[in-house]
Order: sequence, then C-alpha cells, then structure tokens
Amino acid sequence: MITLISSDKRKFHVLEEVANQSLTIRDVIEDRRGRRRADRIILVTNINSKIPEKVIVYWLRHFLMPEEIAHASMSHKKAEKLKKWEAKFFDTDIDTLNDLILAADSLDIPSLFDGACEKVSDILKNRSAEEVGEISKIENEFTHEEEEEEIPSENAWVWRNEFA
Amino acid sequence: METYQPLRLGLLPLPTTVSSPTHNPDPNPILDPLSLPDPDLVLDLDPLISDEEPVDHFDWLPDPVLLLILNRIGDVKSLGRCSLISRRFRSLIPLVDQVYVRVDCVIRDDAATASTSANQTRTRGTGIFSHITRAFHSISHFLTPSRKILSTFQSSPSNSDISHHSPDEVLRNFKELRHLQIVLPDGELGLDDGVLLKWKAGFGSTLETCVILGASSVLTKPENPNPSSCNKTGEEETINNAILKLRIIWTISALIAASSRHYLLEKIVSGHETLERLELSDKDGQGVLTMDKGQLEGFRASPISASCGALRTVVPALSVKLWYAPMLDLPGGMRLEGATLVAIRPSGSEDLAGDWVLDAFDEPYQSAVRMLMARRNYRIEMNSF
Repeated sequence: MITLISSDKRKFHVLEEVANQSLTIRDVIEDRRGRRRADRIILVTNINSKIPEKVIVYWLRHFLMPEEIAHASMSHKKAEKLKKWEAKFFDTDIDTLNDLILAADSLDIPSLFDGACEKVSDILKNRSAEEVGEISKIENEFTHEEEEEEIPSENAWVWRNEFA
Repeated sequence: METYQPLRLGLLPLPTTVSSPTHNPDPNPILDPLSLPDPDLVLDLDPLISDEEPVDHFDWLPDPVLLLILNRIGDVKSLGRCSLISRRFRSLIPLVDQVYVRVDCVIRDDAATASTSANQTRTRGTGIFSHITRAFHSISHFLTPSRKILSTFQSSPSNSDISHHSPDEVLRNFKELRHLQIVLPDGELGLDDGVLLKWKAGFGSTLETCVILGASSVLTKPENPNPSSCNKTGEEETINNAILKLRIIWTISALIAASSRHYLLEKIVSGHETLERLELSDKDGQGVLTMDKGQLEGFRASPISASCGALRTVVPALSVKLWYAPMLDLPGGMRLEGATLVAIRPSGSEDLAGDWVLDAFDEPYQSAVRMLMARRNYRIEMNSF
C-alpha cells in the first residue's frame, strides 16, 4: 500500500499495483524492495488534495486495462467509452490542468501528461482574443507599441502571387 | 507527434526531509517532517514558486512544458491570440516548431497573364501538347482568379482598413519552424460535378514526384453491384483517343496547379532554414504539395526557375505512367468510372510504380490506386513546359 500525502495533510492510500502507473513511484518501490516497510509514503508538497485525488481517480480508471491501452487492442466500444470518460475528466479549469501536468510530469505518467497538455492547448486554441485575455490575471502587460507588433490574428490573410 | 520525454522537474528524492535546497527556508513549513513517517519520495511540484504576484495561470509551468502545449496548438491565428496573454507567452511563441496556416484568400494573376502562359506552352509544346492547345486554353481559366472569392473580398466594407498579411510575413515571427502546414481556401482546378481529381506532388527545386488519381464520375451507391465481372472484354480495357486526351488534360492541369503552388513557397522556404517538412494543401482536398528535409535543402540550394511569364515554376521533362480502368468498384461501396492513375517523375527515373505511388492517398483512394496498378499501363514522355 502506498500513501500519498498532500500539502493539506490529507492522506491517500493506494494499492501498489495501481500506483505503479507512475513510473517514478514504481522505481522507488523497486529500489526499496526487500526492506521491511509496511507503508510507503510519497509526499506531494505544495499541491492541495484535489490533485492527488484526481490522479488516483485517473489511475483507477486506467488500472483495469493497462495492457489494452498500451497495445491499442481495445475494442472500439471500450475505446469510445474511455475517450468519453477522459473528456469529462479533463473538463476542468486551467489551474487544475496545469497542476495535473506538473504532477504527471513529476510522477512520470505519460498518458496523463499528454491528456492534460492536449486539453490546455485546446482551451488556448478555441478562445477568442478577449477570452484569452481573461486567462491572464493582470490587466495588460503590454505597452501600446508592443500591441502593434503582435502576430496578426484576426485579419484576412492574403497570398498574392506576384510577378517575380 | 513527439515522443514524451519526462522532464522530471522538481523531483527531489529526499528520504527524510521535506525542505528542498532550491527553496528559501520557509519559517512555517506546510508539512512538518517530524509529524510524518519517513517518506520514500518527496515530490515538490512547485520548485519555482516565488513571492511575486503570479502573472497568469501558467506561471508554475516551466517553459519546456508550456512550449509543448503551444506546439500542439499549431494554428497560427490561435498562437497570435496567445501571444497577448503575457510577455512570457510572447517570448515562447517564436520558438514553436509546428505551425498550421489557413490562408483566407489567394489572389492569382489576371487572365492576361494566364493566357500568356498558355501561349508560351503552345509555342514550346510539341507532340502531345500541340493536339490539345485548345483544351489547354480552357484549362487556363481554372487558373485565373476565382471571381467569387475576389468579389466578396473586395465588397467587404472595411476592406481599406484591413491590413493584408501574406503567410511569409506572418511566419517571419517563427524562428524555429520544423513542420509547416499551409491550407489554401480552395483547390485550383475547376471541376465539373462528379469528377474526381486528386494529386500529390513532391517538390525539391523542381518537380520530383507526382501522383494523380482521377475519375470521370464517382458513384457512392452503384445500382447493380458488380457488372464488370460479367463484362470483361479486352475492348473495354483499351483507352481510346478521347479518353486519353481528357487524361492528359487532367495531368497537365494538376501539374500546373502544383507548380503554381511551388512558386508561392520560395520566400517561406528560404526564410526558414530549420524547416524539415512542408505541406501545402487545400480545403477541397484536391492537391497536396509536400517537401521533405532533403527536398527543402534542394530548393534552397538551387534557385527556382520561373516559367517565363507564368506564375509558376518550370515543369521538367517527364516520364509518365498511366493506368486506366473503365470501372472500378472500391471495397467501401464507392464506384469510380473512367478511373485513372498517373505516376510522374522527371525523365530518366526508373521507378514509376513504387510505394510512393501506393501511399500517395488515404483510403478509399489507396485501394483504388492498388487496384489500378494491377492493370496494364501506358507510358508517355512529356516535354518540359
């Protein structure tokens, strides 16, 4: 059994087999094998309990079919179901997603890292200029001159085939 | 997509202590190490946290991760909007190496120029070309500006205020481009309803490969499923003059469209030495021009030769292999009538039926290519034009 502890001192007990999905944790377990320790404890600092919770939920969902995911041998129906589930799982705010990315990176969970990055880039991609502005916490960093140099994003792009 | 490489940021395997050396000692640690059993692993997910006010939600994400996210966006307009988020975004966006550009409008040359190019070809053309000059004139109108697009564009009320940006202008901001995909608003070839014409061309400084798949009509649900099996006369298999003529017109139209696109790319290719792959396609799915690393280097090394008076590059002398089937039933239930496959390389090349032909198109067209390649073929040599 693995215990994860978050910054707000909440403890999460997870089966080794489940936590093994983190390559980082798996390595630690391997290193310590043979030493008589009932509990293994992983500290996750500076992260509130929401993230370990989400990570564990993700693990549990994937725990049941790791082989299938790795070999892409899932049936079409199962794959659809997992896709739907992941869409819902990642449907959260940017702060949470960013924390998930950090957690997935440190814990070395490639699929979680990829999924969260994909979602953040989708959010950035589909927002209008004003909405993107809302992501930014401060009013506006830029001076007027800087604004002028920006990559034109709203204007029509015209490719003129000119004489050489 | 790149393979995931863990960055292992802030991973601090400290057996007994919580405070990390990269941190300023915190007078009130959130976690009191003494109250906890020995941890095996301490994951400090936030090694870079500072006392400064956060600028945006992405403050905690290290640059390499943020860049990874930006690379997935691809679309240049979205990236332009993202550059408004913060100075950090703005400094990272030029490092994005995968970009997708949707061009809103291509202004091609006027009709006069197009007909000059047609004349040019007529005077130079020999053999096959001289037979089809008239047909060729009718092709040239495919290549004149699409009136519809132009007029909507000009009637736009704020037209005079809109600053127009060409892709090479916009892409100038990106210094590390490796993969570039450009999509034109429409295919150049004006096709009649039901006609299928797709091409895929690989260019270096000049045309290197081209595959064309055409059909005079496409039926999605044919009424009688398989008439060709009971009706296999040698007569039907042979290609008559009229049929051949139309195939040649298709071939030349596609080659002209491809070389016109090639001509557009000069500035972009010379301006981005880091490019490894370039793809120029259109929304209609007609044609795809591709350049890989070696071809891009070739393009930079030898300057392109523009076809005199025409806004395209010169098409070299070509060896052409043509396959034809009066009727082709594809596995998915689609039927092509007058199906034609054309494989083209510069004269002297031997391999006119390799994997590059087979892999040119996605399904169901890949099956069509495979089926056509099993049939008899015709060889044609073409002069440079």
